Amino acid sequence: MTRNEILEIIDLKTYFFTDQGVVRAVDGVNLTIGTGESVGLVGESGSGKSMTAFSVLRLVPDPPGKIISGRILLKGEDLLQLTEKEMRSIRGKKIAMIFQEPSTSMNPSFTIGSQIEEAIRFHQGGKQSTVRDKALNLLQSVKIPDPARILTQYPHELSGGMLQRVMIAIGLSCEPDLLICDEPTTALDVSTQAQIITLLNELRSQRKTSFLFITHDLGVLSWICTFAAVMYAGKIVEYADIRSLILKPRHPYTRALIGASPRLDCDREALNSIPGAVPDLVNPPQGCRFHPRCSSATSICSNEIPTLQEEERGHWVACFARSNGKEAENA
Amino acid sequence: MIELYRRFRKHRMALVGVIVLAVLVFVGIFAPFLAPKDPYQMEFGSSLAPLSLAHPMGTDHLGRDLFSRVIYGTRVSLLVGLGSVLIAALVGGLAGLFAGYFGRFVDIIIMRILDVVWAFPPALLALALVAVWGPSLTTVIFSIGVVSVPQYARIVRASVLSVKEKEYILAAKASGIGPTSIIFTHVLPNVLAPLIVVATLGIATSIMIEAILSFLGLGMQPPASSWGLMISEGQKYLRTYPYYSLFPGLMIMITVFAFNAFGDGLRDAWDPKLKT
Amino acid sequence: MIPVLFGVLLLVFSITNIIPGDPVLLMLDVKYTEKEYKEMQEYLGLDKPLYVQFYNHVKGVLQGNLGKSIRTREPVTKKILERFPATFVLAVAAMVIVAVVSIPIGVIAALKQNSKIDYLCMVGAEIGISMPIFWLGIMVILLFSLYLGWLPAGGRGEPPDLIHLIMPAFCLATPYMAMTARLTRSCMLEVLRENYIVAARSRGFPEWQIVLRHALRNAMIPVVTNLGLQLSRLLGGALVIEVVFRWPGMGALAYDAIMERDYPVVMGVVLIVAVIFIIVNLLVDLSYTFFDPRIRYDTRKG
Repeated sequence: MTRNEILEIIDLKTYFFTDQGVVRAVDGVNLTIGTGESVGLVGESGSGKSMTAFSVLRLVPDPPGKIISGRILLKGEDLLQLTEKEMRSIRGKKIAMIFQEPSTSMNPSFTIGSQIEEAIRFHQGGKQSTVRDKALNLLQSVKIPDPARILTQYPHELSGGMLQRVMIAIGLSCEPDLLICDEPTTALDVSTQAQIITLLNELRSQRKTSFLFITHDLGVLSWICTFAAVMYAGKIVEYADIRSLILKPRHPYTRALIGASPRLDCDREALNSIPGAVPDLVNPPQGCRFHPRCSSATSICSNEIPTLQEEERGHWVACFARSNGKEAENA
Repeated sequence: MIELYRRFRKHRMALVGVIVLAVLVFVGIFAPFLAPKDPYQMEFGSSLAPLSLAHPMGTDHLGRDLFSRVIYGTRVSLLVGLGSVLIAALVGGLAGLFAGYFGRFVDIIIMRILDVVWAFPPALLALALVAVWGPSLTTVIFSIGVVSVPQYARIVRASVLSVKEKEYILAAKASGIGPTSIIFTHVLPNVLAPLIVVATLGIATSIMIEAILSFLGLGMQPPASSWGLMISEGQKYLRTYPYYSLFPGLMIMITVFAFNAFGDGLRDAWDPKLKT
Repeated sequence: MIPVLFGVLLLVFSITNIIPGDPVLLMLDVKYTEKEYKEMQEYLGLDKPLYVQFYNHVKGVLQGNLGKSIRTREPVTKKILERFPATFVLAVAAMVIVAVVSIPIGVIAALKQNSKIDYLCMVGAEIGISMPIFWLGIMVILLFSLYLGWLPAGGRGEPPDLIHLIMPAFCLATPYMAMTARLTRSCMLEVLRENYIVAARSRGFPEWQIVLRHALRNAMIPVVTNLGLQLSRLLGGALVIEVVFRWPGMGALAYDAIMERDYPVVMGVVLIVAVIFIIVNLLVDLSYTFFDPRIRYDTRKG
């Protein structure tokens, strides 16, 4: 171990067995998250990023999904070997998760207070008054004004931003080692997004919690993550620290993603969209999965699957084009 | 593969329903050829006879062959079921169509009237209507039809409302097409699917209500071969000769089951949102 | 609601007037005079124009007067009130059976979706809905009273006891059990797909807590309100059961009255049943605000 690793995902494969065939949602993913680090997982819808997150907590809907193989080490302990009961003491306590749609992620029939207190009581126990005080403190730590009143309200009475703060509060209630964030800002408006991300950054530096941050938005990614992995069709195609990834992208897909992002700092007439369509995960393309849409593709790309190679220190790419020194259109 | 098997299993009931329905309709249509004896023929010597090849379901207290009577009973049930549903679907469907399409005042009036009808338990109201009009095949069909109107009106109205605001309707209106045209070319196709589902399930309910009415003496009158009537007549001989009441009841159950299963299958196939 | 009630009264009144036969004649002896006819007509209020009759009818109903039985001359209201408790007990007993039996079955079927148990429950439910309850009643009497002798064949018991209640309540409950089991199952399935269930799982709660506390609470809202509606329908549907089991309730009263052509009694029962249905519907609608916090909020906002 070079740095203090909290989570190590090793060759994870999660497949979905449907009537149309086997969907290889996560097809051999390797990822490491160190203490206090914020690692991002970025890609289009269907790239497998959410399912990777769900696999860590073993929340993959079964049927039709199943974690086929791999190891997920939390501080060295393989989560995939644990019993369901043991896993439950991990969920919410060692690893917590916040979700994309805050308005539907809370039970509409219970007050905010009862749901926060339920989580606190379950993992930490205590008298009602202690639990309530902890709940109030939590709400204050996520900068919710008038926390006492919020405790008595129902989820539909709060805005998306407020609900997300509550979810973060619940997530952090047991001081987990890892917080998984599955596109927590996608459903929020831009200014609320900014507030939530600022909050998350603050909390991370205060508590040294690690983040696994999933998003499709490169802007959000660069703001909150120190490292990031780009996923495409169930595989990781590039991994680097955030600066290198954004400024010196090496995989054609990453370049295309960056190219397709609207930017304020340069004039452009049209956004470059990535040609072609999202790959069929039941029958993925032969060889490199991106090759049908890749402008730098050569014959080897359609025959062999590229593996992640360390290009520079800490910058990994899975692509054949790089070794030929071919630099495709720069963003 | 496992998934495919599971899905088929769920719809197996609907498949069974369709097959049973086909058999029943066949029996209903070809009753005269399938029934071994005349259902009205009384043989006083062999009343309440033990089951035999000649009388697979036994005989009733007047010596009539129960198997033949049960077969003819299929006709009664299917006629009443189909007849009442046709009336209810037509009347209710039109009511719902107008209520949904024209909205406002028309809607309120129509729905209030239907609420009044719906306030009565269907069987009870049908009973009262038949008592007033005098029991016969036609009054039974009409009474059950009247009582069933509200559900068809509701479902049609709901479909119309959901389609009304869709853009292609606005486009059609904008190009000057009149209401009747719009109703029949655009709205109607969307209404048909839920209507057929409710109608299929409605036939099951109608058959059940007819059985209740006949059982209570206010439906088909003797010597008609109605399953409900037979169950009622068989009550007197229950201890010693249960077949009299048993077989007609089984037939009702099988028939209603078939329509329900088929209707459920249709609903699952077309629009799971209709599940109540 | 008021217009519907009015419509119900109107409908009942209309039916009473369509009934064949002259109600005046029904009340008179076989030999009567013109004078007696006119007096009886006046007495019954039938000499006045229709709309006045209707007005009197409504006035009477609002005062609790539903007319007089042709056969016994007793006030209809009195007879209905005498019989109401029996029907009410039967209906409530059936409802209890429905709730206690079918809700757990529905939950289990949902939890084990697509398994053999689920399939059995669904087929069973389909059969339950398809069974004619009067025939079920007869078969059950055949088995448990005539053959096995375990249970009494009819009546309510003198004084009313639980043993007599078992069979009729169970038979009455059967189709509603089937419907409720199916409804519970589909509501549970829908709720279990919701995001907040996944979120609750991510917090490490055990499955039983997720099902019983989080899922059930939301799934039960439509189920319980549906039960309320069923209760009002039961009061009418109990008629057939009361006839088969000779249960002395309102339904049996109405049936006897039909057979005896005692129309005021019949119409009285029909009216009461309809009114109860309307009132229960209203209560159920109001109860939504109690069950679903989201609706509560909307009504508060106005």
